[in-house]
Amino acid sequence: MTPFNISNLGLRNFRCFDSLDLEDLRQVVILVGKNGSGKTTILEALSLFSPGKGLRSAQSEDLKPYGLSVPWRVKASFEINPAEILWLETHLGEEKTRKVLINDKPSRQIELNKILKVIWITPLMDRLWVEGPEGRRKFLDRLVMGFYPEHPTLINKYTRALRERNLLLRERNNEQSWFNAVEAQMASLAVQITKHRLATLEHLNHFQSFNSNLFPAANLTLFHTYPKNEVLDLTNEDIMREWWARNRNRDLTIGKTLEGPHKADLKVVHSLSGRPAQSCSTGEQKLVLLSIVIGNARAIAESFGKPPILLFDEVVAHLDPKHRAVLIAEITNLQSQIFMTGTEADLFPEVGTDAYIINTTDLIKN
Amino acid sequence: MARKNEIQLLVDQFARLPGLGPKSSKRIVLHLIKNRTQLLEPMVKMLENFTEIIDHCQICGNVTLHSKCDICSDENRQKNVICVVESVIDLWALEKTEIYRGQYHVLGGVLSIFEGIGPEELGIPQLINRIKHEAISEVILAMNATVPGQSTTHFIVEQLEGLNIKITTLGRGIPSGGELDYLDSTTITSALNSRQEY
Repeated sequence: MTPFNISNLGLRNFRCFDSLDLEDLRQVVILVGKNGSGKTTILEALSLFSPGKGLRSAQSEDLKPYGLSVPWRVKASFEINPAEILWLETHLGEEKTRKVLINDKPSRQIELNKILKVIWITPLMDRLWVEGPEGRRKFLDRLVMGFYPEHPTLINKYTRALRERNLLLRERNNEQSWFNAVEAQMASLAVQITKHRLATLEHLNHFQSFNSNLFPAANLTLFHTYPKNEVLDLTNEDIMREWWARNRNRDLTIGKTLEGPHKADLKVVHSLSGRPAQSCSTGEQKLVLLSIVIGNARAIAESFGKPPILLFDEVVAHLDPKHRAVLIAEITNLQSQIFMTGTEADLFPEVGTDAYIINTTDLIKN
Repeated sequence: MARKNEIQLLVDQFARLPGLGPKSSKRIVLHLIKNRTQLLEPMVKMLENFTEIIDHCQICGNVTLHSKCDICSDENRQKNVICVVESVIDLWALEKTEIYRGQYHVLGGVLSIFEGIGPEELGIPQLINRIKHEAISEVILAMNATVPGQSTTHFIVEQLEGLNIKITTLGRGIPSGGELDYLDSTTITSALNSRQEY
């Protein structure tokens, strides 16, 4: 497997950084520094090399320095071979939307996903297993995007059709042909979305089986709740269409669509204890998340041909030395480039001398 | 707040046009000012004239300077085939191919509950009426492959049920010069589903 690493990273007017240049980055990059010194901001900048809003889910306009109206810019170079360098850039465009340049050529965000994959874990994800299904669904769809670049487009299309059905329920509920037309679109998209999700879970379940025993596999299944005694096959277009048509009157009284892929949830079971993730200890929940991410990184490396870039925000520092060592070894084997944050360099004794350590406290202007 | 001057107001008007932003609008306005006699004055006259005479074809909805557009007036075109399109720009795209020689019907949009555009606003009842009364044997539904475009297609198909008419849609899949390896699975699935005999 050929590593696919970011060599240089430049930030201009990006949150707390007026200008920042990091050069000759290595496979393992450790960002240390006091709270508020910009460690997560650097990870956020890197996360923008994948489609979407990045690891903080921020609006593009909010990424500029607070109180200023200057456009921000993030640029990175990748050494494909000694003679070929790939340049990726993302910046705030004139229409306040995020623009992407690939080798200085304007491109769509989705094109980034065809070049590299970026996976992240942040402290916000600590509550992924105990909170509502929406967060887990988004987490799953992000994983799916790694295998099916067109998946976010399908989700957007489905969401639009769903909003249209909900509005029809409220405003034009006698237009049966219009309902039929919208539900036909929803059914076609629902099937594609569900098939992508199921195939991704199959990949993840398979590739987690190669994890070390210290990171036991999490058994992942797609879960939907339906009225009693009803089983709905979301991979069958006719069944979906018929279901929505049959339940129009019920949905009408509630004013929204009750079933479909927008209600799917990710069911996660700790394979050793057999307990659902939400019933595991906080430590086990973190290991479950890491197991999925390692499995995902391995699956992507296998199917995409390039290992993903990993962004671990305040993750590794909370592991005991044994788990830290195994995690670093797993990632090094995968040849993924990893960026990790922590308050002190002493928290990463296992990374060895090859790691590139950056103290962000020294970078930021006060 | 300071009142905007007339030049800025004109720039704002141009910026409202599709495909133009504030920067290109400024360039256009300055270019028109610079070339007042060669460009600005003839353009103003043309637009004034246009405002008075431009209309939509009463039969198909195409833009025309007469009550009936050139396509509907052309006796050499096939009369038994109608191609339904979302907008005039789609009609122009199809005409550019010089392959299709039938009639058109321009909907002027797609079904959109968000914009309050329903079947009546699109004139779908008139389209169905036209199909029923003009001895049409084939209807080509050439709406865009977007969710509202396909919903509109589905809606029209349902309205045509029971009529003895061939209903077709445009083929979808691999673009010219496309390589399978670079296409997403949704596009390949679509291409496989609409495969044809060689």
